[in-house]
Amino acid sequence: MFTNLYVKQPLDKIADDWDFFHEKAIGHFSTFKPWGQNIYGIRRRTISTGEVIDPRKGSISRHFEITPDGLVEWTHQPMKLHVTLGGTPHRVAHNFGYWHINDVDELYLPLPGPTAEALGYFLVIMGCPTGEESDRFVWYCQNCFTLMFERQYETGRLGFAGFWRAEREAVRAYNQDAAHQLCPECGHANPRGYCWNSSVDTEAEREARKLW
Amino acid sequence: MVAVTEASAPAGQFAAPAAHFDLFLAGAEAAAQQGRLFAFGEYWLWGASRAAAQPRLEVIEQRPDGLVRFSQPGYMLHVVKAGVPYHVAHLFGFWLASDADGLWLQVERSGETTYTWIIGGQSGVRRAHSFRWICPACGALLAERQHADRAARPERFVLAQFEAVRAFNQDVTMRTCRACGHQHPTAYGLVPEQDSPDEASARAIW
Repeated sequence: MFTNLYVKQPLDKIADDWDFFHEKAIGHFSTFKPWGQNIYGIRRRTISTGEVIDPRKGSISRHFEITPDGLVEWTHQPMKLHVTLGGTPHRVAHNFGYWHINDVDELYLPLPGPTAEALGYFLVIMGCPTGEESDRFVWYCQNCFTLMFERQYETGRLGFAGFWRAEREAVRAYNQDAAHQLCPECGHANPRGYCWNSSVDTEAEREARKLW
Repeated sequence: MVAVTEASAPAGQFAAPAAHFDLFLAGAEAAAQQGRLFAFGEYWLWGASRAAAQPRLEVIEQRPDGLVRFSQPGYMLHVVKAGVPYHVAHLFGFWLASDADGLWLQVERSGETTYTWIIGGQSGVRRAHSFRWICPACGALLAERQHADRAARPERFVLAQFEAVRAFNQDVTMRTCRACGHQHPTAYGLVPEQDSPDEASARAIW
């Protein structure tokens, strides 16, 4: 079928990054990249039945969401596609030290490697925010879930290019005053926040990453 | 030849959007979910696993310069941008152009290939789709049916593509190219269980 209709040139001459897993393409997505209508984050990780291991952060298997039914925890499993709906506060222990609330949905998919020894792929895919859609960096009290601190970035209006700077500023703002970490309701002293990118951790943030 | 439909099918057996959901792409838990199109938030999801020895499901895009096949063994994540017509060989026997991006994921390991088709992501998409057929010999447009659904319900999409396929298959004139006279083979829809014998045969071919 369609034999005479195919473009004769090799694929690499026709399309850039046509396979996001290709070794020449995957680096473009390691810190999240908008492409078409979605933002893609792809990293090589050890994916086993029990754990997802990041080479620098360690185990990042424990995910939490605050849903209408309360706090939900799940552990990523290979070949199991998880959807976090927009508006749901969620965080990943030891991966980013705040509750992320975005107005678009997020998909998480751990893919094991072709053999038990080979690295797999950890995919995070989320819609590109548009219009008034935004991202929020939020801290709730670990003891009573009182909202303590929040920063918003208008991703739809300002673009994803400014996301990581906004995240860094939110974490710094939360950490710079111990009063932000002290729950106004129950008095619990909460740990500091930290960014998704562990290479920007201060010493204190590195310690906080180990805690939660 | 061009029909615009605002579908109104009932929800049927399709799952409603959930706040917290896992789609199993492999293993025993996947059996009940495989081969069905689900809606979850701003995405539609479809997944299925097949023996690696079976013909590979291949994404073919219709680009301005001609057709481009995106296929390789092993792992692959390919994105078809919104508006680009594409056909997935052996999965749906038409060219689909949507207002939403289509993500095609292939994982080939342990003698099994798992495919995942993800549609959407951005707010406000998955509402406009076009089902098309082009002449296999000369590329001329043979037929097109548009489907609009402000509710973006996958069951309506599935019904609309099925009706479009049946209308195409029942009309020899529609399937015959006015430019070169070539007759298009039988088309088939997204759900193999709905195939007529001819459609099942066509699914194995293209």
